Amino acid sequence: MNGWYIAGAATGVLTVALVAALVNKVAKERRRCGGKYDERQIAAQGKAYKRAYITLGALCMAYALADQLIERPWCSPVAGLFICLCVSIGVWATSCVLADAYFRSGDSAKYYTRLFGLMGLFNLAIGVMRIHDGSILEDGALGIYSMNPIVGLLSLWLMTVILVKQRRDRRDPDRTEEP
Amino acid sequence: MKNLKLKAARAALDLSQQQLADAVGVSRQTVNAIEKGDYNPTIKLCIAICRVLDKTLDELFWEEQA
Repeated sequence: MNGWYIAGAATGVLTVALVAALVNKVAKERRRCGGKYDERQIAAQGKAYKRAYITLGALCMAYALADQLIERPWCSPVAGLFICLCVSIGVWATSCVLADAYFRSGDSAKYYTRLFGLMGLFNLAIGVMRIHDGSILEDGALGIYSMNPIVGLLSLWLMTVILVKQRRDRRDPDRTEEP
Repeated sequence: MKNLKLKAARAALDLSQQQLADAVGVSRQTVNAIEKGDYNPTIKLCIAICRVLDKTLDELFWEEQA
């Protein structure tokens, strides 16, 4: 084991610890502010989980079948699994957004729209660079670096769904902000 | 089926959907969904709404059969 390996491992552990501390702090802040999902939102999330679970199962089966039928591999197992996961996450999040079950009562939709937009553009930019230098393919198949454009597309999809839902909500005649 | 009794009771107290939602601890969209008849609330939430609007369960949630 050389020094670089130890330094890399230590950096990884430190990064995970920092991210975990940040997530914990955000979660504590949310609990303190009282933001929580209500009973309708929890029920809607249950339906969304069911849809995502069925989608993930169907996609994994389709991927396995395609892997068996197509002689030349078109995608590495890691990239294939990641695509299946991202699509099912997309199904879950889309179902939640459309059922008004994605945001807690205190959450800002505008903040998440911007976050998803930035994440999408950032990852797509990296994806374009990967396509340009050819590193997106490993031995002619989609490799681990295909994750960036996939995450980018997922983020932009979610941003679009949130914007469409907000637009549709503004036109709802039953909506009343003030009596 | 739309819950017009709930909508009327809320409007009578001059409450918005958001104000009622805050008072019973749910999101505005949930109150909207109940009024539109898209969501059947649990008995716990029905009671909470009745307490805020000073109505009985029958007055807000009982539907007479045609």
